[in-house]
Amino acid sequence: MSPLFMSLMLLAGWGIFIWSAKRRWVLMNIGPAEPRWDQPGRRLALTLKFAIGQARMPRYGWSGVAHILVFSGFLVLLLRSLILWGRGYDASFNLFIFGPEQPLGMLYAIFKDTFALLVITGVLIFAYYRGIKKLPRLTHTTEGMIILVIIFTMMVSDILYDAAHMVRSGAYHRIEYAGYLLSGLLKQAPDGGLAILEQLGFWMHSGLVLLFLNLLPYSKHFHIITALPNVFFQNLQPVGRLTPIHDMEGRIEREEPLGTSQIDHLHWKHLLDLYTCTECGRCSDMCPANRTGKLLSPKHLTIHLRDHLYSHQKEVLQLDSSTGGDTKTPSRLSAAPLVSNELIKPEVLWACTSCRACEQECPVFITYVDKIVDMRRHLVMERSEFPEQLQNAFRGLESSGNPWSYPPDSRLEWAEGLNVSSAAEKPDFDILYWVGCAPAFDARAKQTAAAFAKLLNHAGINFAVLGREETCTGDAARRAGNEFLFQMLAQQNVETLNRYQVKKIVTTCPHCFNTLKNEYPDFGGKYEVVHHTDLLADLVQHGKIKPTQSIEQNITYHDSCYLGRYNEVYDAPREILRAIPGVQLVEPELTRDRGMCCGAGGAQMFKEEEHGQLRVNQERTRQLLKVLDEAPQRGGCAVATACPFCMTMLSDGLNDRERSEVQQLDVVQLLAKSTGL
Amino acid sequence: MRILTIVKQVPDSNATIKIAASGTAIETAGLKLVMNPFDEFAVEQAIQLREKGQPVEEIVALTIGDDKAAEILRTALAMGADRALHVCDPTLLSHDEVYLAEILALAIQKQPQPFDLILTGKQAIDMDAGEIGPALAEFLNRPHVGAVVGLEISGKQLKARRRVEGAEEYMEVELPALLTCEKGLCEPRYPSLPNLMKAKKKPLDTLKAADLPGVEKISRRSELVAMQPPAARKGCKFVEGEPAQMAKELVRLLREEAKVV
Repeated sequence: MSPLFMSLMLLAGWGIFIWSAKRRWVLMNIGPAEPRWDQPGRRLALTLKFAIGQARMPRYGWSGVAHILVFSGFLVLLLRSLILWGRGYDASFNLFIFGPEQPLGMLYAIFKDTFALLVITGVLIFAYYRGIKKLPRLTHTTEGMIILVIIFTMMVSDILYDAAHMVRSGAYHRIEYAGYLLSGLLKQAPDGGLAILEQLGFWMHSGLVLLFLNLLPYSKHFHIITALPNVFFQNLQPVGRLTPIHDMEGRIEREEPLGTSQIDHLHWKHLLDLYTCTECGRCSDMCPANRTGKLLSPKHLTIHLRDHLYSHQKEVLQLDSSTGGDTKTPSRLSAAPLVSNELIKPEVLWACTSCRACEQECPVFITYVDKIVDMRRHLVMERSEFPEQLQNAFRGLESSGNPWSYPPDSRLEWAEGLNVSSAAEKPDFDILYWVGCAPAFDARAKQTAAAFAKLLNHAGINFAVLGREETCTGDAARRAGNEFLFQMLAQQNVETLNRYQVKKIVTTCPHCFNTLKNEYPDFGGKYEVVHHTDLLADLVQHGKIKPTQSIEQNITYHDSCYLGRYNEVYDAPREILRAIPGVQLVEPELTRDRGMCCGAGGAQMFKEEEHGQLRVNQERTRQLLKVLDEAPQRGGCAVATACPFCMTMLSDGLNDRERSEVQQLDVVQLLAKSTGL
Repeated sequence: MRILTIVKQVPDSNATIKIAASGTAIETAGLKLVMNPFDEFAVEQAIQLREKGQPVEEIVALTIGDDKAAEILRTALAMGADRALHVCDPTLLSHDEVYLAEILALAIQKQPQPFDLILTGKQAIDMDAGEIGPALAEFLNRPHVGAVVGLEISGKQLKARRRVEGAEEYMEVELPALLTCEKGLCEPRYPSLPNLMKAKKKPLDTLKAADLPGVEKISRRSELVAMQPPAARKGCKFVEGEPAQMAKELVRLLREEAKVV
């Protein structure tokens, strides 16, 4: 071949790529420090499972399968590209051990051809979804199609090169079967033509690889490089824990930001997320806000942030060279505010229910909820701009310790006549029942609290409640962006819990559960926290609670996001329902880690829903009714929940759809009924 | 233009009120105290006048009350007032609002510069007397418009809108004037965190009642003699059964028990 031409091509290809990559590297590091080297073993295992092993891909059916084909093909064919580059210098170059007569080379030949064909299959599936089916979740650009054409051509040119080479040299390696099969067609071709085909195949493949490499940093296909580190450096903290802002008063003194208002407030891992987004749209496809016509689409949020970041590359690079690599000096960017009508509209941020369906789906572990909350933090704490209904909740939390401003003295009204003691009255309790605001004050959720207390007493559990000493955990305030208020409530509650030397806590609310379990350790509150369904399932299993009365109903269980996706409690509520005689459990299409949000999370409970085509709870109710209506009809049917907010949203949904004959109960109420309490 | 807002610390509207052993005061231990919501409108309106381009040189928040009352002055400062004045003397505390207005008038007159506009709530939600505004206007000899829901200022002319039964009234007064604020005038803001921090550094001056010239001549005109909780409401009675039966029973109850038909 031509060593000079190959050298020029490699030099240009790699040179330009390194230049591009270095610029992206500088850009990625404009934000604050973020250590992500802890637990390297666990990180490696996750990378092997989710990046190399593509474990999240099959969730999305054939496009996931196609991706596995193309991805594994790329891994296998990396070696082939190296070999071909080497052949630019020495036509018989085979990386020393991969010659066609050597065992490894023969093995590799089978692999190479098989995976080349699999990549072609994958590309054809992609092209079908992109070009013919025009999947709405995808971003339909020429770039997407061009990339597919390049990949396709790379594969075909490689096979073509093999085939032409075989005919010309007369060395038919049957083991390179794709090339061998094609060579049969080329045998009659004149040698001049064959030489052109061989050269064409060779240079197309080895050149396209370099062209492809150079397109990566400027396209969504950057993920081919960034996905691996993005999975490796993923957040290993509990997913239910938002990062606290420490020393808020000091930050204000020093004029440091309290949330994200500029692109350089995002740390390098957040920016790596932006580089890594492939615009596959699985996130938005599963997003309850997007599904019901709200402005929020997680995919577009990422794209808008990324495009905005890229538009500042020039400025960052100038800053980088003028400060000798120190882009971290204060007020480094003249960047426009992120949250504005031109960039990220406030309505986009306020539509998020923090349900994490997007994060659960993302194959490369991009996070959204933390970024959205960080922008809300800026809006609430620095700009004091938020949906006005939230002010009632904030004020209620400040003055009365609950978002509805009920008098704290009435926290135990639900427990009248139920033999429930406060921690002050009974300091030697084994387990603290953290009631939560909704079960303490909301008329329907109070019945959940009462049923739970009856079951605890029935099972002989030595428990106590905090009564008027309990205040909201601050979940809604925190997710609304009011970190200051959250920390005030958290500190107060941790102080109370530690004063009573609480070891174990049970809650009837998944939001309290998540905050107590995953967020209070940051504030000195370390307890064993269980959800009521976990505790009850255990009591049923050990015969302490015996559900004997039959409930002849079809029941569908709606997964609470903060119980399911956030804390992986999927089985306990189902085990309880299955233990009740007569109950037929039916599953909706979107269930367990794909269960759709009721619409209340992320402080939505305390504000009007953003404008859309329909309400999230109406859509979720439709899905639940669908499975109930399709099941063989029996004595009646019910929607079971394990969260007071889901309860409110779904009862409203059933009312809206005029289906009040469908019961809506907490799992604990059904269990109490079946136990005869 | 210099604006004075007068604010009062009151129990939170959701707090459970208990009468103290003395029988003439409420139990304050553990009671959540906030700025009177109508006074919040006054502070918010003052800040909005500045934000909307009126030449406002200074916004001052003034309260009369015990040590704790300084908390709501910090709230007013966090919302956007420039400085605060606290007339602090526990012996002054009284439910006689005309008496309080007279002391406030002394404190206001003692200020080196006069105020062009005085804003306060139309009433305080604890005692619901509604006297501070009109009484203070009298003592300061200024025009007063009560329960204002809209406000326009051009130069020295002030046009205030207020709601009356079935209509709206527009009143014109010349500054200096005193207005009391009604719900609907504006939406009080939720102070941002940096502003809460800045409020800690804004000047808050405390005046002792004894420092006010002429205070010795003022005396209370009324005295609170006793407080009683309202009688507990009787529970509702539900009539059950078939519709016809229920109607019959309802009529019987209204006639025989309630004696209204």
